Amino acid sequence: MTPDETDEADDRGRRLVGALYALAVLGGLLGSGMLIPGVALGHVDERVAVARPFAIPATVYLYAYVGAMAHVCIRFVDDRRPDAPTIVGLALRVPAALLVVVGVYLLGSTVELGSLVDAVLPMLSSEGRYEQAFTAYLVGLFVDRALGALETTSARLYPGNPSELRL
Amino acid sequence: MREVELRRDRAGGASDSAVESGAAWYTERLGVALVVVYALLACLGVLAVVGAIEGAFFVGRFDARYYRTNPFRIPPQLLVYAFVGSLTHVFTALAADPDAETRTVLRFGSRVPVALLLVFPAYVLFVSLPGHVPATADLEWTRQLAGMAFLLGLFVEHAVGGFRTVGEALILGRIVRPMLGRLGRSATDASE
Amino acid sequence: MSADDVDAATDDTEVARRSVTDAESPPWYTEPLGVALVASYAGLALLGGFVTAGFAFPSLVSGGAVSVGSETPLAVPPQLFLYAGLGGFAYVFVTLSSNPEADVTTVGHLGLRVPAALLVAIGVFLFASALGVAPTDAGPGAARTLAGSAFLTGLFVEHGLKALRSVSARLYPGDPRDLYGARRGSDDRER
Repeated sequence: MTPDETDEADDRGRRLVGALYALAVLGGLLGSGMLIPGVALGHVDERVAVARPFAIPATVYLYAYVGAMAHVCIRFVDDRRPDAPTIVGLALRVPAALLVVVGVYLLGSTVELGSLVDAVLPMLSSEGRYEQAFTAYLVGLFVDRALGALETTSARLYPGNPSELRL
Repeated sequence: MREVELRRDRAGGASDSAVESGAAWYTERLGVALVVVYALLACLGVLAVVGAIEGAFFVGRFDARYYRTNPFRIPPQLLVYAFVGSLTHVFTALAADPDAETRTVLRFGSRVPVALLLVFPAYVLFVSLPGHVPATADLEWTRQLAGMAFLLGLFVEHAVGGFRTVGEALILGRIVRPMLGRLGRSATDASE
Repeated sequence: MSADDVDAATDDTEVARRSVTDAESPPWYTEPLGVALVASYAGLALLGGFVTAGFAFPSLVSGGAVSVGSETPLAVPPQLFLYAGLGGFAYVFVTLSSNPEADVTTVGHLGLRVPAALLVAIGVFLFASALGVAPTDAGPGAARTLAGSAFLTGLFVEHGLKALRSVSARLYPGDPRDLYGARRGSDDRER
């Protein structure tokens, strides 16, 4: 690339990273309830979940988003000069996380998210009211792990040897 | 988990997934038009399956008892499911071989009328073979019937093979073997 | 939690290691068609997400009584397609996120999975009890099982297809392996 193109690419990269940071801050504000009071409920209202079982509570999406943004920011801490593919890959984690969390929420108890999650979850409120939000957050943070857990669940759902179904 | 390699089409023609080295369907107007037609048909099928299309094929009403007592009346809804199943084959084959030639894409779609025609003998086979459809509650029976029609569309070759087996068993068993026995040849020779 | 922990978790699964590298083909984000494609995927997925959250077409998700019921045994609940589509898009975005340098052709190929996902989900729904994914109760759990299995089918279309193939092979009399075309090339190819 010519020096001009390099500068342009650098600018675009910087703008994208800046946009990601802004989105992260927005996510933090929403999640803490400071921006729109009442939006961030740490727990998922059970009555809603029972009355509308086909719906995904917005809280789940919100916390998956916050988790994904957290992952993005943590990676930028380490990598002060990310190249274009890195930025794009990280940016794409956000929709990926939002989508994967749908599966984790729906399948709830059948998905095993792994030892890290199992270790942390019992430390939460004993009523488990914040569990779902926190799980959503973890899905956002570790999308790959959540996907792997979903794949195991999917392979076990069908009759026959699960390892034969591995992609 | 094994690593999954996304198959690519290298510039210059030969991709390692497809056997053919011709032009991919999306580079030809006919190819694109074909896939658009398939997509429209699939939308139509989905609307029918969801119950949005009324008429003779309406899936909203299904009198299972009537069909169970009249095994030679074929429920028209099965045609809907065979139709959708054959289109499912079209799209799964397309997703597995996305750079296929237009010719191949046409071949994918040729199963649609075949599936529709095969519903009739398949239904007779399934319903008349005793115990083949586990006789359970009406809901289960209905769903399984629809499922069979769907699978007929999706895996037409299974149905063809199955019919061939049945046909062989029937014809060889009832007609050919006795005839050959009378001619003095052993049955095992004949079935080769 | 430090950046190293996050990195380690990411590198842990093989999903992250799926690599598509072809130095000659330009990454999708450098081409307007690529950006348009990904933007349209994102738009559709966003619409789907809005529907599930109740912000659009709320009637689709406001009901709970699924036709697990017997009044309309042959009808497929439309929510099935919503969740199968979301599952399909989930695969698209996870793959793109691990392979950000994929070219436009690959992006197109990924998108072709979504219609296949929607349609295969119908089959999995019809054979839910044979496949062991049937809802065991009527009520909210049933709806969630239905939606969840539709999502998984969308995410891992090959799993559903393989399962359906074995159901189909067992339907017909005779040895399943002898079925004509049961091992045929292009239909069996899996990604």
